[in-house]
Amino acid sequence: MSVPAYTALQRDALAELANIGCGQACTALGQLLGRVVDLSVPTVSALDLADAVESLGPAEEVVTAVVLPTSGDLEAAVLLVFDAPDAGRLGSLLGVDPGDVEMTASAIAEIGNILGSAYLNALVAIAGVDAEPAPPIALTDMRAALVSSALASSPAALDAAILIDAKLSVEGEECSFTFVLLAGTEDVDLLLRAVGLGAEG
Amino acid sequence: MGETIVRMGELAAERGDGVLCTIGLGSCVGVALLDDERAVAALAHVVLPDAAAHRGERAALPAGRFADTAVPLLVERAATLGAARRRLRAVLVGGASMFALRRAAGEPDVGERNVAAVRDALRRIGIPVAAEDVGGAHGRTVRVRTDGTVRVRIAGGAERLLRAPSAAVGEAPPLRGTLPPGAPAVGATLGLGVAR
Repeated sequence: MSVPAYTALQRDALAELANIGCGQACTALGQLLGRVVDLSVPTVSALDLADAVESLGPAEEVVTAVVLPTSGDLEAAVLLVFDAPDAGRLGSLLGVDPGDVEMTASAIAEIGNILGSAYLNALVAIAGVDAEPAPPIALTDMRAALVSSALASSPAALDAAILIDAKLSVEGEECSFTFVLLAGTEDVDLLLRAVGLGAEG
Repeated sequence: MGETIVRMGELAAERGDGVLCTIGLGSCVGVALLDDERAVAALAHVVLPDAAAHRGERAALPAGRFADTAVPLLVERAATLGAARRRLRAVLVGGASMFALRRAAGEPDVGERNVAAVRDALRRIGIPVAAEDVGGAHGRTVRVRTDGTVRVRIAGGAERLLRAPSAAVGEAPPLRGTLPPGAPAVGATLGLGVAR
């Protein structure tokens, strides 16, 4: 398997990009909910596809995922994964009855849209690449089916998957979810070059 | 009885008494080749149609990731375990349209292209498809027993029989009768060709 190795400096730079992107997303969610939203330190991993799917949690568990692909120079995608209780709690913070599956899904899709767009806009602005988020798609299904399909539709499927993930949690609520940038090696090289840390100098 | 998990892009084969399992197929296709008489099963977790798109080294080509290279390799692995090529039957599961990302209008998505590529590869080698549960827009988990039984489960649902072992083995198809009422074979429900 051709899983690339990044230097510590390159990993730090990617994590920092994610940190800034997630920071923007946190602010956006905080404003929407009127709550403080905390952000974990992002982790960067370069993985084989099978390991990438496994790293994101139990394969058969039913979760809701929102995917925002980017179009333009950067062919990455943002993936937000909410397990069922967290999706319900997040929806109820917006006044949706957690028993109303359809409205909850719709609220999660909207939250995903706001967060994903904030994240990608920040990333694109810092990296100075020409890319914009496409409309989000929200689905509820087995976790592995959602994650593997998002990976299969991304350039990551052609070599290895680079996952940059962080956890967002709403202060004072038992509510958190995972925020992942799915990218292939070419896209990560593009980001690294943009911040002056490309392999080719 | 051991259960072998075949993860994204992987491929495995087994003989005797065992189960091959792929959890949460979305746009990916689980391709099983079965020789009921010899109790040989092989399963690939296909991600994309065509190995020509692979960016890494050819030597490092993941065994099950591409339809066009996974199918011949399945035949080879099954034959190594004693399967007779003329007896091999294929079962296809998955190939759903999940996130239809970066798709021009009217163009088939990755799930559909995967199913078409697997069918093509099987046709070229001359292996008939015994049963399939493909398409739609939901994930599937598939369990393939070495005796030729294939069961499929969708999110929140119960396991359903997609294929019973071929009657040629000399035993009555055993599992159909043990299913709870209201759980018919998936292939039969969908009117798919469950040939045996």
